Amino acid sequence: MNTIAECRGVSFSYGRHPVLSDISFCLSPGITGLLGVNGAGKSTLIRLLATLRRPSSGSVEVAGQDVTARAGSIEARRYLGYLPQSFEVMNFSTVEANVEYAAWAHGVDEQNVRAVTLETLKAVGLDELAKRRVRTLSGGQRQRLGIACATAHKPELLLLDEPTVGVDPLQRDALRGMIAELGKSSAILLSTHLVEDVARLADRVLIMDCGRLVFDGSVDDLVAKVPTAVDRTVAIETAFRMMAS
Amino acid sequence: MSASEISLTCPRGHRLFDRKLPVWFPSLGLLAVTMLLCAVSSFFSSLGSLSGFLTCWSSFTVACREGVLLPSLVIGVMTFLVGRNFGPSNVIVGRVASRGTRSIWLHHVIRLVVAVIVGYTIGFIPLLVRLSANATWGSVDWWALPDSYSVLIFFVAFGMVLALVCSRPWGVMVVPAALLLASVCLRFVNEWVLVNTGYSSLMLSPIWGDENPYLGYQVSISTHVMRILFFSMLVLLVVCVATRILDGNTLLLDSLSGVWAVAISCMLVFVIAIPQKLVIPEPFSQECAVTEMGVKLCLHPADARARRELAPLVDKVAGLTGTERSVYSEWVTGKNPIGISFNIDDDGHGNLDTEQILTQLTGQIVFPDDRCTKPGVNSTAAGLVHRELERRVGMDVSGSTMSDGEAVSPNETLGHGFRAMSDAQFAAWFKEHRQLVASCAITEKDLP
Repeated sequence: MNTIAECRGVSFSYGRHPVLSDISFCLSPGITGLLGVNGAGKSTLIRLLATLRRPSSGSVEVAGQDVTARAGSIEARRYLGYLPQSFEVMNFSTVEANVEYAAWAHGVDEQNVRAVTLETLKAVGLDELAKRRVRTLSGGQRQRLGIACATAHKPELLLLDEPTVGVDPLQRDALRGMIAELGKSSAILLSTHLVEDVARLADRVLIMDCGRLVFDGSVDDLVAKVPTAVDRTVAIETAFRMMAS
Repeated sequence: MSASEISLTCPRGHRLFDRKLPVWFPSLGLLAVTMLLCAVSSFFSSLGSLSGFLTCWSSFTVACREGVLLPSLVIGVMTFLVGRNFGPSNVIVGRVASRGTRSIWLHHVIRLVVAVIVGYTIGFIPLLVRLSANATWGSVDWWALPDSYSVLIFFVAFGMVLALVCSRPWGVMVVPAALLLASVCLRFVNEWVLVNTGYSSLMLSPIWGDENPYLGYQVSISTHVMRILFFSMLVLLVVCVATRILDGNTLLLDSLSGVWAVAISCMLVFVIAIPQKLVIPEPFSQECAVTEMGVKLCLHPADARARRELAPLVDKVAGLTGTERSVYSEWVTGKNPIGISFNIDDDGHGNLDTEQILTQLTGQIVFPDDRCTKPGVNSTAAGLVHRELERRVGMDVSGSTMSDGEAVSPNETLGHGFRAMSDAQFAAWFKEHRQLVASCAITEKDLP
């Protein structure tokens, strides 16, 4: 299976405070869940992959580009999409204008921007709201817009930081369906503390604790660690509790 | 080759006004609003000069420099709205745009700069038209425009950098406030810290406040060049800092921009420590003419337009106050015993009306040595004489202030004796008490 992103011995610290310690893993097409308690280092790891930070040591490669170098990080950005946990868009513009500008800024050719925008809006179910001002959208619709902006340029690696937080159960189901669809063609690293997201979406799971990777394997492997659990979600949650300090 | 076979090709990539851009951002609406607000701001700054009785070209220089204050607020709001799209959590541009966040950021800065400068310049068109039609002396100081442009470009770049740091909603207050502070801080340093020290920070201050050159002086070209150089260096430094932030560097200065920052600091220290000449004398000779009553009225050529209205008033003042040479010696020129050489003091704004000019004129006649403005001097009685003189010349003095700024209540009973006097009686009284009034030694007991 082809590798889209790879971390090798990555460590990172804010000043003297270590946040990540010797992290190594590869990402291939499909959905990988990233579980960890608050402060485990999930968001920092995602920022390193998103080229927003550079590791203190170790290397990070995205689409074959070493993102620790400036030239490599610029090249790598063509292949990645990033949706932060708390993201901002142009609230006074229309949904369509937001996606068009995001697509253009992320490298889509000018002549293809229009078609790509329509296609992306349809994929996230916002095509009927294309002319609406962003500030009038609901929480779930806004979240879908964020995903549309992050995916309009068809990234090979999609980094999603808590994408289902703060939306109602119905919208959450719709978002999960959308992410599952995107996972068919891209490598998705889904950072979450909702075990249900991992149970429903991920093929593989990474568990972080105190800046270290304590589990890297398939969801089935994780579930197998708790044979007594009544269902998959409970099994993942129990295993996660066992590993998290 | 026919015309149809010729095709113009442009290199692919990012262009400043790329017609193929899917959407305009900053949107045309936002740019138009920026332009309009800047035009209104600069027009508002020139309003005083537009409505003034006098017209002199120095008012354009002053309006240009002082006119950057209001646009700084507009720029603050607009740069926040545009610049926050480059925050790390923004998904439209953010920090991971593969087209190059730096170049997109610079592209936005340039568009905003164009909108600001065009709007700012448009706002001065009415003043330029009025001055072109009415100014009687000197010419426009074209250096004033690039001087102000360099300040405005710095404001835009600085505001965009601040928006990168303060991309949260409260930034909409912080960024304009920071730009306002940037426009006034050196002015206040000059007024509060460097006062009476012989040093001045005005040269590199965006605005000068009240410290404007008087008629007879103009801002030197070296001052303009120094200011343009300083603000251009600041712009480059700010752009360097912006690229560092956009690249995710924790240190805001690299070695090159560090050297740059040191150079700017040295320039600031140099300008403050070694006082520079901000203005140079503008050679002129007063234009004198004798009024109907034989008063020789000399005015700066820039104020020639005021002569027609001032001459009868001067005659009236001279009739009421007498015309001895000994009294007016400070202004007497040539052999004419009745000479008034009067320089209108308008602080370079050119926004005085005839009443304000007349107050200055009567003030100079009644208090030739400015003794009433000295500390510890009781100027109440002298002020009443001044007020009475103004009333008799035809000015509305109800609730007015005296020339030294001390308020006189309309209900004041002092000086009511003047009311019963005819102009001839007042002239006789004034002649008798002239020295007392001029030396500000007159007391309430001496009043009629």
